Amino acid sequence: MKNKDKYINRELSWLQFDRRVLDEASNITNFPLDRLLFLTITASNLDEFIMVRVGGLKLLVNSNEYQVPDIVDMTPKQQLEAISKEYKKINQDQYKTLKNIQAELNNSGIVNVSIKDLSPKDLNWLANYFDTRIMPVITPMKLDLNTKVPALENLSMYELVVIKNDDPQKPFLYAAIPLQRMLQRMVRLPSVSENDFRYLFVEDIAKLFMEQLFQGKTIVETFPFRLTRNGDIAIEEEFSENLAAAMQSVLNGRLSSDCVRIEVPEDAGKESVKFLQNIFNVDEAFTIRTPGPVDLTAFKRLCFSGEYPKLAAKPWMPHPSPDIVLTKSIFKQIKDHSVLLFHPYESFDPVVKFVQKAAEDPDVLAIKQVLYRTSTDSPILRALITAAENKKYVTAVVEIKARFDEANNLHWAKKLEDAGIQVIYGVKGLKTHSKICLVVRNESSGIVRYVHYGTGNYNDATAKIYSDVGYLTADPELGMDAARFFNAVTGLSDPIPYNKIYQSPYSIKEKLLELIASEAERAKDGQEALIMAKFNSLVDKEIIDALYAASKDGVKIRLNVRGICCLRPGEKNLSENIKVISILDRFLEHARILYFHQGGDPLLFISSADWMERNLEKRIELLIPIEEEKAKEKLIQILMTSLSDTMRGRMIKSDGTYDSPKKNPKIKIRSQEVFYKMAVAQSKRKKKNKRTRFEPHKK
Amino acid sequence: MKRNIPFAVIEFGSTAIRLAIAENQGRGELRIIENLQQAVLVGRDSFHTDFISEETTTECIKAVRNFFETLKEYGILKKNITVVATTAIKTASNREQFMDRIYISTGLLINILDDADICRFSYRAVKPVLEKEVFFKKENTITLEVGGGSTDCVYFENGRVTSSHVYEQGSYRVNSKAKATEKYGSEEYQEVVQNLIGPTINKIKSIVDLTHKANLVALGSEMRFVAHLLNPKQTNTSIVKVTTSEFISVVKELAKNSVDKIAKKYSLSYENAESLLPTLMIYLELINTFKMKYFFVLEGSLRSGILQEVISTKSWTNEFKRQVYNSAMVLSKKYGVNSRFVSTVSKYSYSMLAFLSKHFEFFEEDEILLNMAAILHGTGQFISMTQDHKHAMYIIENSDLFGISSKNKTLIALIARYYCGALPSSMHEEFVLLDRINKIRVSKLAAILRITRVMSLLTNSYQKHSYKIKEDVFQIIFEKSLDIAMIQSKLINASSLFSNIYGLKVTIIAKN
Repeated sequence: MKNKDKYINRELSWLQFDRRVLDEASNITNFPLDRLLFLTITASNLDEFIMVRVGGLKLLVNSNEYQVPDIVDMTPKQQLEAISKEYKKINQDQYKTLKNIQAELNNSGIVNVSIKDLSPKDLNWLANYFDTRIMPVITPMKLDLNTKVPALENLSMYELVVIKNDDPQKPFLYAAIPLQRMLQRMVRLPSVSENDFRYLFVEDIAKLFMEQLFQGKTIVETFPFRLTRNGDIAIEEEFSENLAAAMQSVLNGRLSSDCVRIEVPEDAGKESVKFLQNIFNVDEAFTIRTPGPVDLTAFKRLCFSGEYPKLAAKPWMPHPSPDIVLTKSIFKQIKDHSVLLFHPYESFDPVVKFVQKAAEDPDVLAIKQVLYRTSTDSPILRALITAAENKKYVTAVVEIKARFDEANNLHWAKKLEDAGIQVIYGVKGLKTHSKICLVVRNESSGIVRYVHYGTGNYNDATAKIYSDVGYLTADPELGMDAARFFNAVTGLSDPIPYNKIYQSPYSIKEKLLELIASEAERAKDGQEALIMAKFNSLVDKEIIDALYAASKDGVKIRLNVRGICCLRPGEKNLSENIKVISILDRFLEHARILYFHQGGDPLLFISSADWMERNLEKRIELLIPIEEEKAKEKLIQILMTSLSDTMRGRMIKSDGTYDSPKKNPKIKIRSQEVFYKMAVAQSKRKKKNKRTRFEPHKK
Repeated sequence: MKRNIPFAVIEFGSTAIRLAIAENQGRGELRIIENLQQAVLVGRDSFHTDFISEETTTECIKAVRNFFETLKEYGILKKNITVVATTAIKTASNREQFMDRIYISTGLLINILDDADICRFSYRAVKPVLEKEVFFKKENTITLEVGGGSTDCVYFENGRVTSSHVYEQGSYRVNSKAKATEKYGSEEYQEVVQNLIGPTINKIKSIVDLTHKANLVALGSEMRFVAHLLNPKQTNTSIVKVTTSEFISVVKELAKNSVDKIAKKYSLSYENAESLLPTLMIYLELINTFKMKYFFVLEGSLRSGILQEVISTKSWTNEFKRQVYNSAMVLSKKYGVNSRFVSTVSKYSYSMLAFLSKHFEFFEEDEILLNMAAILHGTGQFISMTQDHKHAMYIIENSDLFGISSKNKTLIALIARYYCGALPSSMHEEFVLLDRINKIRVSKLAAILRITRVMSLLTNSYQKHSYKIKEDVFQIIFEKSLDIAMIQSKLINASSLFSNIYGLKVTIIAKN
C-alpha cells in the first residue's frame, strides 16, 4: 500500500480542521455571535498555520538540503501547492459565511455601514474622529523597491496609498500607513436607535480622509493590506550562553523575517498588488484576495462585547468540584483522597487555591512549577511571588520558547526572578510542555508532597474556555516522581527512573507502543481488546502504524482527536476497527486521556502530550497513570461520553474529511452539554447536602 | 508543632556523586525522601591514571554546589550532612589534595570509607528489612551491592554475619575494559565481562557454605530498576522476589540495545545506562554459579545504611556487636580454636573491663577490641604452638573481619599478639608504628586479656566472680572453691603487664 493511501498529509488535515470550524460558523442552529466567533477562530488558526507551517515549508523549499518527502511522500513544494489551493477555497468560503452572518446581525442592528450610506452627521463625527484619534498617530512610510524596505509588523494592518508621480520613469509612489497599533479596528458610530451597533473599519475611515494626509498629491488608489511573516524561527540553543537574550533576538528576528503571505481586498489594483508582491517577495500562491474586510479576527471584539446576550448562547459558567471544598484545608483533603478536576465544567479555583495556600502555609518548604503559557495578570504567578516573599523555596520552569508567548513569558519570568524565585528557562533543545506543580510540606508525620498534574496550562483565563483535566494528589510515589522530574529538568540531578510516570522524550512513546501492542496481543488471544483515547493531534507515524497493526489484530480503537489526524480510519484491510471523532463545541477540547482495556483491568492515563513526533520526541511531556478508582471512573465517563457525541462530534472519514452532521440523530448526545449539566447537578447536590448550622468565627 | 529536620548523606562514588535525604520516622525507622545523582566519572581518573584531574575535581565541586539547592530547600545544615567517599577517591594518589579542594570550595569534609565501614553500612541498610524475612533467619544469605569500583558482600548464616568482603571489581572497571575491545552488549563483550568477573565470583564462592542453600539479596539502583521493570506495581515494597528466568530475559533484552537506546528507553543518564548491563551480568554470574532459581532485590544502599546509622545515634548497637563477634567466632572456629574456651575468656574480659571502667578511662570501642582479641587470640595455634601469639597477629591482620576497620584490626591483632610472651616493646615494629594513645590502649587491653586467659584456664567454664581494688591490689574473687595453687605461676607471669599499666598487683581469691 502506498503511503498516500495509508496516511493523510498533516497540513491538509490541519486545513480540514479549519474547514470543520468554518462549518460551525455556517451552522445556522448556532447563535449568530457564536457563529461569528467560530469564524474568527478559523482566521486566527489560519494565521498561525501560515506563520508556522507554511513558513516552515517555505524554509524547506528554499533550502536544497531538506527536500525530504513527508509521511505521504509529498515534497515541501507539492505540499505548498496543495495548501495554497485548499486555503484559497477556504478563504472564499469564510467570506461567504461572513456575509450570511452579517445579514443575520443586521436584523439585530449590528451593521457594517458602507460609506455611501453615511449621513452628514456621521461624516462630521468621522471627520472629527479622524482628526483627533487617527491623524495624530499615523505616519506614512515610503515603500520603494530601490531603498530599504521598512520593517512592517507581522499580522498588522496597513493602508497602501498609491500616489501619482511626475517622473515618467517612476509613475507611482507608494506609502504604507500603519493602522493597528494604537487604533481600534472596528469603530462604532454614534447610535441612531436603541441598542444599535453601527460600525466602520478603521481602514475605511482612513481611506475617506486620506487626502488630508497627502495634500496637493493625487491619490491613485488606496487599500488595506496585511503581511504574515515566517514564525518558524528557532534559536540555536546550543550556541546560546544566555537563552533570554537569544530569545529576544528571535523576537526581533520575527519583526523582519521573510513574508509568507499578503492579504489584500479583492478589488485592489493588479499593479499595486504586484508591487507589494515584489517588495515583500511573496508569490501569487500566498497572495490572498479577500471579498470583504481583511483580517477577520477583528470581529472578536464584537463577539466578546457582551452587549448582545441574546445573540449568543447563554454562557456555561464553571461550577465548584464536588470533591474539594475551598473553605477547608486543601492539603488535608488532597491527603485524604486524590481529586480529579474536569475544567471548565469544574472550576479552576482549586488549582489556583492550591498554589495560593502553599504560598502562605508556614509548613510549606517549596513550590515548584512548570509554566508554559499563562495569563497576563495570573493569580498563580502572584502566589509564587508571595511564596518567595514568605521565604519558601520557589522554582519556576518557564518555557520561554512557547511560540508566540515568548515576549509575555520573558516579561513575567523577569518579574519572578526579581522576586527571588529560581527561574529555569526550560531545557536545552527541548520545550518543557509538562503541566505540573509540586508543593513540598513538612508535616508532623514528615515530608509530604502534593502534586497537581494536568493536561492544560496554568492559565486561569484559558481554563475557562479550554476543556482539560487535572489531578491533585498526595500519592507518595507520584510525589517522589514529581520531585525527580524537577530535579532532572532543573539540572540538580541526572534522570533517575520514575516510579509511576513516563516522560518524553524518553519513555512516553515506548510506553504507548507497548500498551498498544499489549492490546493487540490480547486481541490475538481472542480476548476483548479496546483502546480509547482523547487528545488534540495524531501525527506520529510509528504510533499510527502500531494502531493499524492493532486494528488488524482485532483491537477496537476509538479516538477523539480534536484537530490534525494523519491516520485514515475505517479503511478496509488497514483500519477497519478504528473510529475517530472530532468534537467542536463551546469549549476547546484540550484534555489528553488514554484508556487501555488490559483484559478488563483497565489502565488510565492523563497526559500533556499529543501523539505527535514533536511532543513525543522534542518536548518534555508527562504521562500520568491514574489509579484511584473514582478518578478512573470519571475519566472513563469523559471518554465514553465524548466518543458518543452525536451533536457536535463528527467522524473523520478515511479520506481525512469529516462526515456531514447528522440532522436528526436517533440518540442526541452533546458531550459538552452533558458534562456541563453534570457539573451543575453535582454542585446543586453538594449545596443541598450542606449542613445548615451556624459556624461562629473563633479566635 | 515542632517539625523534624531531615538529614543527608553525600557519597562520592566511582561514576557519580549521589545525595540521599532522609527523615527519622521514629522507632529506628528511616524514610528516604530524596535521591539525587550527578554523573562524575571520578573512577575514570583514579582507576586509569591514579590521579583525580582538575577537570573532574571542578565537576565534583559543581555537583555538590548543585546539591546545596536541594539541601537548602529542606533546611538541612552542613552539620547534618555526612559526606563519604568510596574506592575511586580512596585509590587516588592525590586524594588528600582532592579532599582539601572539596572542603575549601564547599565546606564539606569527606570521610573516606574503609572496607569495614562499607560492610557495616551495607549491613545496616539490609538489616531492618531482612530481619522480618523468615528465610533470613533459617537459611544462609549473601547480600551484594555492585558499585562502579567495587563489589560489597556480606555473608550471613541463619541471620548471623559470618564474613564480609569488599572486592575491587565493579561495573565501571569491568565495562571500561570490556568496551575497549568489544561492542557494548555483543556476545564477545559479554564473554569479556564474564572473564573479568570470574575471579571475584570465585572469591565469593569460597566464603559461602556450599552444603546449604544460599539466598542472594541484591542491593543498588540497577537491581531496583530491574525489579521495578519486572513488577512496576510493587513500588512500595522494600523487598521483591525476582525469578532467574525473568532476570535473564531482562539482561538479554538490554544486551540487544545500545547505551543510547537504554538511556532513552528507560529515562536513565548515559552513565547509568552504561553501567547497567555489566552490573546485571555480575549478579547473573553469581546466580548461575549458585544455580539459584530466584533471588531478592532490596530497597537499600550504602547511603541508606549511613542514614540508618545517623538515626541510631550509636554506631555500635548491641545487635551489631553480636554480628561482629559472630563473624569473629566463625573465623576462630575455622582455625580450630575451642569456642567454649574463647567464650569464657570473652566473658571474663567483658566483666573485668566493666569493673575497671569505673576506675580508669577507656574508649567506647575498647570493649569491641578486647572481645575480638579474646575470640581470636588462639588462632595462631593453628599454624604452630610455638610463637602462636605472633601467628595470631598475622592471621588477624590478614583476615576480613566484619565491621572492623583496618585501623582497629591492627589494634586487635596487637592485643592478641600480647596475650602471652613478651610485653609490648619499642622493638616490635607494628607496635612502634602506633601513636602514643593507641600504644597505651593496646597495653591496657592486652593486660586484661592476659589475666582473663589465666582465669579461664583456672575455671574451665565461666564462673560467678567479682572484682575489688584494695589499696594497690586488684582482687579477683570467685564464689566457688578452686585450686588456685595450680595457676599461681601462670598468674605471676600474666600479671606483670597489668601491674605495670594499672599499678595494681593481681590476686585471685576463691571462697575456699
